[in-house]
Amino acid sequence: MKQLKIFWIFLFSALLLNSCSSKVEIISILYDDALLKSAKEAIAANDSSIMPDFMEFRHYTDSVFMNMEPLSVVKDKKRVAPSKDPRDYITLSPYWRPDSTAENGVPYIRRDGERNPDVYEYLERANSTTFAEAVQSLAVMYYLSEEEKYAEKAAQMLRVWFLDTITGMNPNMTYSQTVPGMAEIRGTGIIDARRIAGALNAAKIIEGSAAWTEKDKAELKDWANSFRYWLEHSVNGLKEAKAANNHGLWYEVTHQAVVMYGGDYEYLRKIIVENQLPRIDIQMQPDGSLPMELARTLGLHYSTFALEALNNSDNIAGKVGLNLWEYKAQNGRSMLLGLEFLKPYWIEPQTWPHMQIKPFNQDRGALLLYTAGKRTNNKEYIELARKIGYNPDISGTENTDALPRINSLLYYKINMK
Amino acid sequence: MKRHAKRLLFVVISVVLSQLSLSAQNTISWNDQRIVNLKSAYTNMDARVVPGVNTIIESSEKYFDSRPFNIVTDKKKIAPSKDPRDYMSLSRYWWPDPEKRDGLPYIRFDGKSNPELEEYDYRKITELETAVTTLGMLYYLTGKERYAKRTSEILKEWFLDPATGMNPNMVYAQYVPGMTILRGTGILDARSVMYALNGAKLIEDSKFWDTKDKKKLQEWVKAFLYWMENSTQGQLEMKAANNHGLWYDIIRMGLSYYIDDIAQLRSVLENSLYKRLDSQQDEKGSFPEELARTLGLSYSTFVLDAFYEANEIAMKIGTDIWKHTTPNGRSISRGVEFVYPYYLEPQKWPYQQISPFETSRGSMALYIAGLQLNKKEYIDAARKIGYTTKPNFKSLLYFDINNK
Repeated sequence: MKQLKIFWIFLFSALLLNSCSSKVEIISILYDDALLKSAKEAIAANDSSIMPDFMEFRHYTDSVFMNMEPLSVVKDKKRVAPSKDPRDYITLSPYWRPDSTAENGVPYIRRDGERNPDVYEYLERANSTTFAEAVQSLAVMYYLSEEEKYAEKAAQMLRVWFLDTITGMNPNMTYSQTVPGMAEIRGTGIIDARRIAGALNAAKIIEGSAAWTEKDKAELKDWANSFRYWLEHSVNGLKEAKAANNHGLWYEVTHQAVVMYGGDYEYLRKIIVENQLPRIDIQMQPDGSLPMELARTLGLHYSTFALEALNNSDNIAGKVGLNLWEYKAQNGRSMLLGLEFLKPYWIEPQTWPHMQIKPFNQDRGALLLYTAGKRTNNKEYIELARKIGYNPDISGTENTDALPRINSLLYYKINMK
Repeated sequence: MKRHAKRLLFVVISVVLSQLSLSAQNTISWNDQRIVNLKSAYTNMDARVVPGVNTIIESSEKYFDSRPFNIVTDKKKIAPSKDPRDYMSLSRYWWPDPEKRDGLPYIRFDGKSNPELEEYDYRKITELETAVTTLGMLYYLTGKERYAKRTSEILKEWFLDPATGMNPNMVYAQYVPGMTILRGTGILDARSVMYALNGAKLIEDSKFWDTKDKKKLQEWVKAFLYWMENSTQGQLEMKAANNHGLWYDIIRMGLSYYIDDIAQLRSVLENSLYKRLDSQQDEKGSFPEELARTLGLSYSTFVLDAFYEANEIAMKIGTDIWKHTTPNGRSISRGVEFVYPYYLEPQKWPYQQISPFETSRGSMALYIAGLQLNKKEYIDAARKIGYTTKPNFKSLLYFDINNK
């Protein structure tokens, strides 16, 4: 009943917004399109507050991704899934390792926060990350520069990863984050599908290019719809949808991205309101904390990670006229309440009273505060974001350093006084 | 005048209604006109069909008990995915290798079925097919909602239930223990999926199968079809040069029809199935790949069955495959010509046939060919061979086969 009421409120506001802005063109899936547009305008105007970062991003994209050999789940594969099909994505659960007291080391035992080195035997983990960063970098460069060559490269990589009949990934993640020796089916591996969402985001951005044909579009849409079926109906998917921590939130982000790429906007709105929002009510304490994340050895990281999931949801929700930052549950829970809880520790991470066995990157707090400030018209948050400052290290030339660079462009105004 | 108009309206409505109740339920792989004929015969107490239908009615009661219709309950063999919702069957002609201690990998004895088949899901999927097509037909013939209700329950249990619903793939169909390479052959088991959809079509006007149910099943079928067309196994089966390749296309045609993708149905027919007629049939009209089997006459007939069924599906969009002759002169009728003498005298079959050939299959094949080609010789031959009607609807649809 309560959900229904929320639904109607959202539906109403959505209709209201839609009627004012029915012709707003959707540029991306995961980004705030207003930020993309403003970056593009600034570059076109040769704005000195963005140009150095843009030139750097161009150089980075050119040198790291433009000549990259397309990646796939098949490439250099060392470990094949029990299905024997190299096109099945398979990775190892990072925090599980062989049990030294058991014969053969199986079943594995869990060591939270400590990565099992065997993880790197399963190349899809690294390759999917690189792939998602590559296509998103190329797609953003295409959007900002309008140069076809970037769309062409992104299209080539997307085809090899998803659509090729020899190398194309099967639309499931049945063997993602496998734990050797474990008989139970788990849903946790679906968290890897964030990269799928990222790749679909890139495909959406290059839609205007001739390099991404109608045929490509139709085929990837079929892939996305098939993956959606798996997410919604498989044992793995059903379990992950019920996950009471950040996994449940990220499941829904991926779900939203896949549904959006499939083009079913009505259903998209429904799952945001009926699936994602109730998770805030359930997962959050009255003080805005997320107990499931506090219990982790990287408590501040995971608490922020959960809020980042919701922020991603909000970026998608924005395309269909919803604003999750303004949502408040009847029991008082909200994204802002979660933000308030974390705010002091983003400013001074050393005061975090729970576990955090690795250093915390404050940039992430700054981005969330800035976004919340923009979405709820709260200057105080924006000031605070500036105080923390957004200072990503973009000196690296690793192929996984794309995201901070893209964020530097999207949030180029963050450090302005 | 007004009264007259009212009466006219009444007449029009009753005519439309009576047409509706007799109108062909739009099945996927059956001849809809024959379904209508069967209903008329049954309604008119035709002695050629009434005993058969009554036997089916009686035996169908067993489908109403609580017997599970899914691949999860009492599963004996679970797929390497660990997921009981993954369909798994054993490749029929493969046996433990007697030379190996653990029998692995299994080795092939063509034509000899391994009884271990029963421990996997194959029997269950054929039972599903029989149950839902039988109950669906009974709903159409009798109009009793209880048949539609049970059909709907079974379909939901098998395909849509979150705990028992089959995953939309056949990765582990016709599995060979110990074999390390991927094969596409298991997709042949998906014939049962397509036939089960006939049941879903037959109950479409029942209140127990609403548009939501239909949409959910269509989504399952879409996901399954995606797997068939894009998976490695699907690619392999697509290349199969024998009856497997034919069935691969026919199943795709049937599934495309179920999800209302007529363009895809047509494309499979014209761009793939017709080409297989060219590549699989030789100038004598025989299918050499099937002649090489230990059950050569059975498999040659199986290929004709495939084309007959393809024709039923093609007819839904108005294409008659019997009229199609390839540029090389290959056609279904050439295929019939080749086997025709052996249906009359199976002992003269010059290739292998290690188990007796079921003559009724030849009779049915000739009868249908006779009707399609308007060839009395085939019809007479079919009657001469004789057709033993079985207590199932596929057989009853041809109730006129033994007419004198």
